[in-house]
Amino acid sequence: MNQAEQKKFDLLITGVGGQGAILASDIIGKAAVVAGLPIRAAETHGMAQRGGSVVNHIRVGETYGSMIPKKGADLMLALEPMEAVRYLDFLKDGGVIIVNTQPVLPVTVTSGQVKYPEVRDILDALSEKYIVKAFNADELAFEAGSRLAMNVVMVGAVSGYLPISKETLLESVKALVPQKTIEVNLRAFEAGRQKVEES
Amino acid sequence: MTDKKLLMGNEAIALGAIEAGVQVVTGYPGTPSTEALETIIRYADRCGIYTEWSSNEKVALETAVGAAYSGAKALVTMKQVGLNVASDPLMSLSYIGVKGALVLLVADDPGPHSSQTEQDTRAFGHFANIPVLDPATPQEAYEMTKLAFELSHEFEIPVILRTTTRVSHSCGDVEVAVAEPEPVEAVGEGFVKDRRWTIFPRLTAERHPWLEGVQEQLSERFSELPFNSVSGTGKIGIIASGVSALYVKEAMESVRYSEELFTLFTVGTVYPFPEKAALSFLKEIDRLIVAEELDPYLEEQVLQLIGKAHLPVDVYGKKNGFFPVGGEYNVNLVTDGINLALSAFGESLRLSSAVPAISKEKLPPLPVRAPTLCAGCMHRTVFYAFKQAAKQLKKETQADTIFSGDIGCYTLGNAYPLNMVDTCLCMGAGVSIAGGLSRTNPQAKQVAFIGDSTFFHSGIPAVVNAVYNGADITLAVLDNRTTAMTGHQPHPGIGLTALGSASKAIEIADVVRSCGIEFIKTVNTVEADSLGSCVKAAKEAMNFKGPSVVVFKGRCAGITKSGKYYEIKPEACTGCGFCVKELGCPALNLDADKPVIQDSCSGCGLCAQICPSEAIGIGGVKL
Repeated sequence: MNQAEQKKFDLLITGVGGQGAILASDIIGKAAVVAGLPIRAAETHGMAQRGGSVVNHIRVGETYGSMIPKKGADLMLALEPMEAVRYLDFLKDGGVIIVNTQPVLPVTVTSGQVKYPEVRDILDALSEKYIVKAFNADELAFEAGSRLAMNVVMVGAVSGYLPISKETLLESVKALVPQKTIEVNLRAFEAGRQKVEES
Repeated sequence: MTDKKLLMGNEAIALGAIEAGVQVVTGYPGTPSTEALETIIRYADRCGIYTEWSSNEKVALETAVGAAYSGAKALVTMKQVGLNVASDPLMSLSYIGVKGALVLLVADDPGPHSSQTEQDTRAFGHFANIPVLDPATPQEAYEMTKLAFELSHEFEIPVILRTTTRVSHSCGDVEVAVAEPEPVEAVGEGFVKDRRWTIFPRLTAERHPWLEGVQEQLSERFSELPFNSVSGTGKIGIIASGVSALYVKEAMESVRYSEELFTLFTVGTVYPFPEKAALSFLKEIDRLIVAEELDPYLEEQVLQLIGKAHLPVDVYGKKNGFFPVGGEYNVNLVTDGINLALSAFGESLRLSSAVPAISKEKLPPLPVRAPTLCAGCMHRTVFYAFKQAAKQLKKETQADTIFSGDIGCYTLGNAYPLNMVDTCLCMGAGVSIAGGLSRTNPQAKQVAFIGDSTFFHSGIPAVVNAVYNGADITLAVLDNRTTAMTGHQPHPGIGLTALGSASKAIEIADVVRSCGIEFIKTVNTVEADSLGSCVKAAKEAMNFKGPSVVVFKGRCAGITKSGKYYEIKPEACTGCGFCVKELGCPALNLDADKPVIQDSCSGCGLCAQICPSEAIGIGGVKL
């Protein structure tokens, strides 16, 4: 495996429109460019952002298309538990899933048409074939100063797996989050990173 | 000085256009094209570029045409269905041509993700005799934008830069020639009077041979361009354009020595088809696989060429069932198509394809998560008001009501439990469809919903028609003071230009009054007790004989917060669940059969107004 091969990393970010998946993906993308790595990323914009299911593909070290093939992703960063299951086909066998355990209930559930699956059942099913790191990222973000920083908690959580240095990622966080929220977001990043390092 | 940046395809196009010296940029928002103009707006002051959000795509194109007639370089941006709106000027413009340069960014949406059609702009270019460039990556989009301006200037013809969602909305590392955009040079001698700018049947007849000649010259030129490339030496040919070419390259990586088995012809300049380059490719192969999203455009081009040149090459594509006719492609789908073709011609070789690791039965069933109106969206209040008004009228007069929708966030009013969109076709169609329904369903009431931006885009001629021909319809204008679905662009009704400077705000009520509408009501939806007045206005309008209009004014919950939130008083709540079942608000949830209001509440107060036990009240202030 040459150096370029080692730097190849396919990451899937899944979640719900409005959770900040695009910002998370841009932080990693910008950091990859600074690190001198080729990058391709596919984002969900438009109608799905109105509370729909969203998925972003991020391909560090890739020079072809931005869409990860099925069973191609090294890691899935799921901002919501149900959305980890929805895109499982993209994760390679034995791949890593970092999942925020805080559900966001769709209207089909809130209006009583269907039940949301037990989060425990979701995690158990995933753990059969994959390496699962699960924690409540909303709570970590709240402790860091704002629930809105949940996406950056998750970027911190995946940071140790990426072929990009922590410092470069932090610079990217600083460059992309609103000026007055930099401190909160840096704390959020550290909280997420620490959570995964401990597990 | 060159620089490497992370750019979305649309941003790369914007920077390419600025480098090419674009002076006038117009457009109408539409996913996935919107960010191109938004990016140019950010640099407009600094680079001296005139930018505007036009009232619709036809107007946008015509404005850009005026600029290009004067020798300036102009860009106009739209999504694929926007090209339908702009097609009237475009079809004539190809005969007239341009002087400076005119480039159209048209973004197609295979899937579709956010569109009402899966049309293919490559085929549209063919139909309109307008060259089409089809980039695969943000880098190519940047380079082809510059090429488009060069070609348009040289050949005096408009050029289409066609993208798809996975180009416009993909990010990548892009090497740009200048690190920061620089002021553009104002070129063009101004408009020079000449008979060439006034289309007449005679001028069209004169220009037609010129137009056909340009197609041949461009086809020759395209055959020499590096955006059309051949790789490999195998006897199995593959032809692809746009992102599909990348999927083919990635799929072929799974076999060793693929370059000895396959020859890939990547087409970047799709129309006019680069026949010379294609012919030399076709002469070296025995069989041809065609991998392309949307229309079988390349397939038809090569089939014609093979027939014309009497070549012994079999073609495997959409037309004989090897690839799906619609939908968005990906590596797996392209792999399957190639494998199917390989098996059809008796090859033992297969590209490797993936099988899911966990069987679906082992996983918990997933609830559908469809897009939905935001918590606190004013459209929910208006839809609910009309639902109540229609129920009351049904009781009083037995009349049913048909609700025609339109294009925008409020199309989501179709979902359970509101179920308030019975028809939706294209921008501005709801008003006229309601008029047509009124002729054939005289016993039913007709209500059409239209957003503020859509009203200015194409609603006004339909209002004029309703007045002129006396249609008995009610038009409900959902005026949330923004173009919400595409990311909150300004429009003619709000008094701001694309650059954020003040302009004349056009009042929708004034417009419909001048069209001759006699029943006009304006209702504020922002007040926490607005439901009653909304229902009252809705019912009065529906009872009015002839065309009536109610303008519902409010704010988009996506950008303006009420500053408060609501909560349920547990001692008063009977747990009937009425609020949850009636409204489908994402902030309302049944937890252990008792309603709860979640953090996402933005304080519209609609649930408090419908609670039969008055158990919902203001919970506090929210920043």
